[in-house]
Amino acid sequence: MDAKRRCAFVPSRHFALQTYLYLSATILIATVLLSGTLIHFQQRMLRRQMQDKGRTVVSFLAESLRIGLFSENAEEIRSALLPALKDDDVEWVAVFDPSWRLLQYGRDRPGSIRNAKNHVPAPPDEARAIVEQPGRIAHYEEAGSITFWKAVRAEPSTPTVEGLYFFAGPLGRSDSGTVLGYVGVEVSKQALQAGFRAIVLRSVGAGVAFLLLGCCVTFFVVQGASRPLRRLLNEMRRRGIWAEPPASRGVLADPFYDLVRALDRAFVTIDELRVGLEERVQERTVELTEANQRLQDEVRERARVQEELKRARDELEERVRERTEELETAYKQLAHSEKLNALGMLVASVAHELNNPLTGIRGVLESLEYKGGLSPRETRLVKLAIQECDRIDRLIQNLRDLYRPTTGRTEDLDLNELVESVVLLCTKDLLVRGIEVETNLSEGLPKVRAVADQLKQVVLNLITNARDAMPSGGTLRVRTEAEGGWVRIHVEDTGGGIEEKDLEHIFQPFFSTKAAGEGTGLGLSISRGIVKRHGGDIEVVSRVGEGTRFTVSLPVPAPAQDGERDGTAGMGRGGVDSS
Amino acid sequence: MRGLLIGVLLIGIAAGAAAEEVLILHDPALPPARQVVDAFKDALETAFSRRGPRRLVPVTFREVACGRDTPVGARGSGPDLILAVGTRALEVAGGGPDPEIPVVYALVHRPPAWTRDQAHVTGVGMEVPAEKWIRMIRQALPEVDRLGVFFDPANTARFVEDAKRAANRQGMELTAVEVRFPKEVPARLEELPPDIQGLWMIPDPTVITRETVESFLLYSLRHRVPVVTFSEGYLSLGATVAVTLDFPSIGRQAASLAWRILNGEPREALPPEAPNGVILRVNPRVARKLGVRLGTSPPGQGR
Repeated sequence: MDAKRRCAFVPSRHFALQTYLYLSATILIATVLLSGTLIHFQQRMLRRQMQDKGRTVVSFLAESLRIGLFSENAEEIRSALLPALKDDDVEWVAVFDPSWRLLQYGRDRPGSIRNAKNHVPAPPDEARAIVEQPGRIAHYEEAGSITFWKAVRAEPSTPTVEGLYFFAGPLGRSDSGTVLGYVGVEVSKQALQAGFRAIVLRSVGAGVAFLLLGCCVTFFVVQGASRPLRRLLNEMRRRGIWAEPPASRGVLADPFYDLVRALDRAFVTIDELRVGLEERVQERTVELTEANQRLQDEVRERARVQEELKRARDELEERVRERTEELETAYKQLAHSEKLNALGMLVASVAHELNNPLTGIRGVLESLEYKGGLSPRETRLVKLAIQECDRIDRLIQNLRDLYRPTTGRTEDLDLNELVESVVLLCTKDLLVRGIEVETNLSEGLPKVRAVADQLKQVVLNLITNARDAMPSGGTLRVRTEAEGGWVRIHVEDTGGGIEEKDLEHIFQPFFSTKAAGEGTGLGLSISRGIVKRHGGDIEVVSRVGEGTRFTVSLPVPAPAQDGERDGTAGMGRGGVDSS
Repeated sequence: MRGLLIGVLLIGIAAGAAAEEVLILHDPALPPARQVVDAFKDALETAFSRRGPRRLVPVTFREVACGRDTPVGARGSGPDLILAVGTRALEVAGGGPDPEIPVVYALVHRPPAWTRDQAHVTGVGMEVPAEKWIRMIRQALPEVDRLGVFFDPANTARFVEDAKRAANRQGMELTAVEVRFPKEVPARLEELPPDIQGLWMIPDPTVITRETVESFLLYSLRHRVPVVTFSEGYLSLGATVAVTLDFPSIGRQAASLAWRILNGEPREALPPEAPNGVILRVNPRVARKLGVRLGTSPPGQGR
């Protein structure tokens, strides 16, 4: 704000006195206005009360005069007028007939009713027109009085005689019906004027009292307000802000002007400080926002790393658990394998022990046959016994071959013989389990170069798996064939088949779908290793619900020099796994 | 089944065709007209149903409201009987194209002159017989022996004469005051002899206006005499006793006349009747303030 403009309202001298005069003048004007307004509204209220009173009196008279005018009874009319005349404000009352002929006139005091048609002013035409309308009251005002006029009416008779029976009150609805006459009342304005005077006197008195009180209060207020200002000036003078003597340049204007300038400078300084402070706050806010953003990014990154660590730990735990389970399973399978190995050695030993008595038994039977003297039936039985001994011998030989540690020596093998020997070994067991065996061995099958006991183990494994796949019986088909430099052995069962999800795992070590203890999970794995080492391959085709077919393919060796017969690399190193 | 339904339908059509039609003309300006019409319809339907099951729809009603502006003859033609409720309805009923249709009226204080020589017009009036009036006044006000009554000779001279004779027979004295204009009433009231013990307001249109009623009631208050009137509405204003009409009873009485006409009784044997149903009502508060002793009244009829 401009300092000079502020100073324009400050008096140069006698600040307290001028303030006091200003406030007193304001109070005086307010008092006059308020008193005038109060007098005006109270006068209006008094006038309205006077008019209401006149209307009430004239309505009351119209009601009271109804029976008197109806019966044209002068005494009744006179007695109806008396109560109104007891009112001090009522100057006179007058009763007219429907043609505005004066019937009664009363004035001033009760008992002074008299006929005085010359003293009663006739109502003006406007008033007559108004009172002709049902329920309306006319009034006109003169210098010293207000005159009210109203018609006195009577309800017309019921149009039908029947209507008399159904009368429903109340009586005396004087606002409608035929006109019986008119009544006029003049109310004096003396009471109104006296009321006006009283109101003016009271209002002026109250205004003067209010003015005096206001002046006193203003005086003390100005004194109270100027005291700290004076102290401020003295303090300024003491501090050297304002050193001019009061008499030379005024009491208040110049120091106030200096003070305002000093304040302006202070405000400018404050504004500068404020702006600088705001800028710094803004910069710090930006820095804090960025730091906060960085911190949030770090928190998010750390959370992500923690999440990845947690996931890695979970995966590691899962893998450890799986490995632990696999190791446990392998341990169990190895234990079972050791047991089977010991059993095989036991079987080989037993077979060996059985071979000697069997040789003796066969010699006895041959001597009996050779000696002769037997009946044809006995001869047939002896031959049958010798054949059974041969079969037992082959069985024992097969068992010994099977459980004998591999020789690792390759030889030219007739796969048909090899297959027959293994099937012979298993036929009895298969028949007991309700499995029909069908063999279809291709004639003229070329020989393959292989380790016999290892291939027997492969075929035995395949037949054993086929047997286990048909617990309720079925058909086992074993077939050999030669095709394009390969010799193939097909072992096919009619069991439940292998599910697709298991097919890719069946050649893995220790994988087994059998119950624990029933299989090692190594048979197919070892068989595949054996076949691979022979340069061949083993394939499986299975359909769930129909059966499984394993095909072992072995290469037919090309005609070669004799020196190469036993030189098949890797075949005879004796490192073939045995199951 | 289908044959049975068709038979019932044919019987219904035949019965409907044979039903009696009653045209009801009523003046809606009369408050009790609805009571009279309802009672009339109930009574007539009941009477037909008692006659036996010969008609499935014995009587049908058609109502027409007649105001002051309804032209005479607006009733149309064709009904078997007309019930006219109110004088205006009776005027409308008498102006139709079929003058021989029997007309029964109700809520008609005094039938118009043209009905006197019309044998097909009969009904129930509103004028209670003077004998019954006096008897009921004696019953309600046993200590009142002298009654003042105002009447216009042009309206109620015959009734007042009958009332005088009935009063004499029942030990009362009736002071009859003639007035020819309503405004005479207040002045003539002051001329009544001082030994009058009660005022009797009779349904005379010259005597009864709002101002005269006020005069009667003021006189009753000033002189402490009871006012006997003919309508319950005046009781609440300060009358002491009212002998009023039982409007449902008037409806039933008109239904009885209609029933006899529809059953073929000769019309000459069915002259207009006075109302049978009359109710005595009293205002005990006013009686107590006036110091008047009330006689015994039927239970439930006091106010």
